[in-house]
Amino acid sequence: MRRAVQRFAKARIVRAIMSMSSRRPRGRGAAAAAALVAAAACTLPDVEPAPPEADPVAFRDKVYPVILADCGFNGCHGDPARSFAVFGPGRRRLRPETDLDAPVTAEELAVSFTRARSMLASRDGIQRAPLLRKPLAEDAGGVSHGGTDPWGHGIYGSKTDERFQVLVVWALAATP
Amino acid sequence: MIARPRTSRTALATLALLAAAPTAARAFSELPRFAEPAVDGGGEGRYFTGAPPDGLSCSVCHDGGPTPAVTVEGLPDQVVAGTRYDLSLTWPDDGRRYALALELVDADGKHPAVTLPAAADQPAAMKCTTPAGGVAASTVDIGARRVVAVAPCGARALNLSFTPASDRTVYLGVGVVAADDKNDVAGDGVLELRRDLGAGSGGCNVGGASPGLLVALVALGVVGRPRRRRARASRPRSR
Repeated sequence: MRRAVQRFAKARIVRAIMSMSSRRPRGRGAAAAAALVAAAACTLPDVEPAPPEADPVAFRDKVYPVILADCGFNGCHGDPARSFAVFGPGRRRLRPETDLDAPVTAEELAVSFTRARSMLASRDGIQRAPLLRKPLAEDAGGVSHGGTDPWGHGIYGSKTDERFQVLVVWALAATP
Repeated sequence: MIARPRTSRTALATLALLAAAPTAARAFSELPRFAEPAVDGGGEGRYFTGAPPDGLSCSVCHDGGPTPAVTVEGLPDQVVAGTRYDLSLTWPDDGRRYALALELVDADGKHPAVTLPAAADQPAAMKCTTPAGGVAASTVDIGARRVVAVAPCGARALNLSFTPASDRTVYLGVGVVAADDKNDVAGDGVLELRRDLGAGSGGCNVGGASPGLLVALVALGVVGRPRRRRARASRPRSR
C-alpha cells in the first residue's frame, strides 16, 4: 500500500516537473525540478521494507509458544490494536466467542504469524529487527520497551536466553 | 505492512493446516495451571507475583475493576538474618472473589524460609467459604523459589512467616485480583505491591513510602498499582 502511494506521489512529481519544463525557460525549470525532487526526498514517507519470508512450521512449533507465553497478555501484545499481537488459549482470543481455554484456532495462528513476521522487517538487517530488539534488555543490546517490568527488567535479560534464541533462530532463517 | 501476497497466502494456508491438531483445553483457575505450557492456556512457569523472578503481575491481563483495598502488616524496614517475621494481609468481604499470588525472594532467587501456618492453626478468615472451611492458601516450589497463592474461594486473609538466612535484601511481590462474577479478565480489580526489604532501602519501589504509611496507602489503593511503563529503576535481577 505504501509503495503504491509512493509510486503515485512520484508520478505526480514527474508530471509536475514535465509540466513546468514545458512552460518555463529551461534553466528555471531545471532548478524548480531539482527543488521539487529535493523536497520530495524530504517529504515522502520512508519505504518500509517488506518483511522476510519466514517459516510457518517453525513459527507454530517453536516461536508461537514462546511469544504466547511471554508477550500475549491482554494488557500487552494480546491487544489486537497493537501492531504486534499474539492470540491463543488462556490469553486474549481473536474472536470473543472463542472459549478462553479452547485450543488455538487456525485464524489465531495465522494472524499471530503475520503480526510476528511483520516485526522482522528492518532497514538495518534482520538482527536489528524489532522482534529481536524490543524484548531484549537495553543493557544487552535491546531498545526501549513498554514491557520492561517495574524492577527494570526486559523480557529477556541477555542474548543467550534460550527463549530469546528461539526468536533469533527463526528470524535468521527468514529469507528477504 | 508490506507483504508478498503469493508466499504469504501459502504460509497462512500451511498454518491453517498445522493448526488442525489441537491440544487439550483446561480451566485456568487453579495453581497448577500456572505451570502448564502457554499453548495449553497455562502460565508456563510464571505465577504473576510481580517479584523479580516473575517481573510481571496480574495487571498484564486483569483490568477494569476497583482497586482492592488490602492491608499489609508485619513488613520490616530491613530484614535481619535469623529473625522470624510474621506477615499478614487482609482484604474486605465485598462480594468479589479475591485471588492472590505472593513471593518473597532474595537476590539469588531463593525464598527466605517462607511458611504457612498448619491448616489446623489457620484462622477462619484464611479459610474458604466455598467449600466452607476449605484451605485457601497453598505454596508451590519452583526450584529455590516458593510462591504462595490464595484461591478465590472466599478467604479474607493470608498469614505467613519468613526467616531470612542473611541480612541481604529480600524482595516482595504481591498480586491481588478481585474478580467480578464474569469468567473473563475484564472488570477485575488489581492490586500490585512490590517492595524490597533490606540493604537500608526501607521503602517501596512504587512510591518510596515508609512502611508505617504503607499499610494505609495500600488500603487506600494509592501505591498498589504502579504503571509498568513508568517504574524502571535498576534492580538486581534474581534469575
